[in-house]
Amino acid sequence: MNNNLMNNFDPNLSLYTMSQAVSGDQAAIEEVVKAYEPYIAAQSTVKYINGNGETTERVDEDIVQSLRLTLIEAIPNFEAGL
Amino acid sequence: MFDAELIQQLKQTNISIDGEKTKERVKELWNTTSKEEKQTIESLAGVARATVYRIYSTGSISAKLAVAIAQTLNVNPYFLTGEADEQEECTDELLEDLLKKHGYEKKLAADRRKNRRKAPTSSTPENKADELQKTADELAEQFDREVRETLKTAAEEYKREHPAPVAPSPVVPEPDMEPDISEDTLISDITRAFLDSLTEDDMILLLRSIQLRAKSGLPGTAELSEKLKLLLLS
Repeated sequence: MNNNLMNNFDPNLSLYTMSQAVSGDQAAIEEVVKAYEPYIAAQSTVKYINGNGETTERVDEDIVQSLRLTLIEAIPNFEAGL
Repeated sequence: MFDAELIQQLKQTNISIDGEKTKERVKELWNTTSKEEKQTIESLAGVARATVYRIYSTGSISAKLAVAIAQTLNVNPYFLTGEADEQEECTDELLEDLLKKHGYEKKLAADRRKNRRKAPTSSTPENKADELQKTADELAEQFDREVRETLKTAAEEYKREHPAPVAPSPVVPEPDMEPDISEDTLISDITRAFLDSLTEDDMILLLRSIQLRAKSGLPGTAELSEKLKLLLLS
C-alpha cells in the first residue's frame, strides 16, 4: 500500500459521527474504524520473502486486528474537543 | 445613512436658510410621500406628525427632520434647507457634510466608533456559517490527525515487538545445474549412515516423492527425477 496515497486518504466521516464516537457510542466507533480500514491496512503491511526468494508485501491480519482494537480503545480519549 | 439613535440626538433648532423654499419643498414632498415612508420619517426623527406639519406652516426645519426626510425620500438635504435648488439624491457624504456644518462632528465620530465596535458582533448569517464551517473543519482535521497518529504509533510498536521472521530462502537448484551425486558426496559425513539405514520401501517412497514434486512443477525436480531413473537403469 502506497503511504503517499494514504496521506490523501479521506475517511469521509460526518462531524456528528466523530462526536458520537468520542462520546463512546459503539455504533459510531465502529463506523470510524470501518472508515479507516484502508489506512489500517496500509499500516499493517509488512514485507516478506516469498518461496521464490522475492521480497513482496502483504497485509498482516494480526496487526490489522491489533490496530482495530487500539483504535476502539483510543477514540473515547481523543482530545478533539468534539 | 444614519440610524435613529444618532438622528434623535440632533437638535430641534432651525437650520433652514430660506423658510419659503423649505416650506414649499417639504409640503410638496410630504404630499407625495407614502404612509409607510411618513411613519419611517417620524420614527427616525422621533417626532409626532404635527412637528412635520409645522415645517410647512413656519418654514423652519431642524437637523433631525432634514436628515430623516432626506435619507428616507432620497433627496439632497440642502434642497430642504434651501441651500441647493436641485433635488438630486441623498448621499452619506451630503448628510455628513450637513451635520459637520452644524457642529455635529463629535457625534459623527462617536457614531463611527460605535459602528466599528458593533461590526464584529453583528456578523451576517453567511459569516457565522463560514466561522462554523471553519471550526467544524478544524475539529475534523484534529480527529483525523489523532486517528492516524494512534494507528501509526500502534503499528510501529507492534512491528517492533513482533519482528517478522526471516523466511529461509529455499534452496532452488539451478535448472542447468547437474545434481551433485558424486561418490564423495554420497559417502561423506553422516550421509553414509543415513543411506545405510534406508530400506527398500524408503527408497521407493523417496522416488515417488521426487516424481510428485516434479509433476507439481517445482523447479529442478523434473531433471532430478530423470537423472535418478537413468542411474537406476544403468
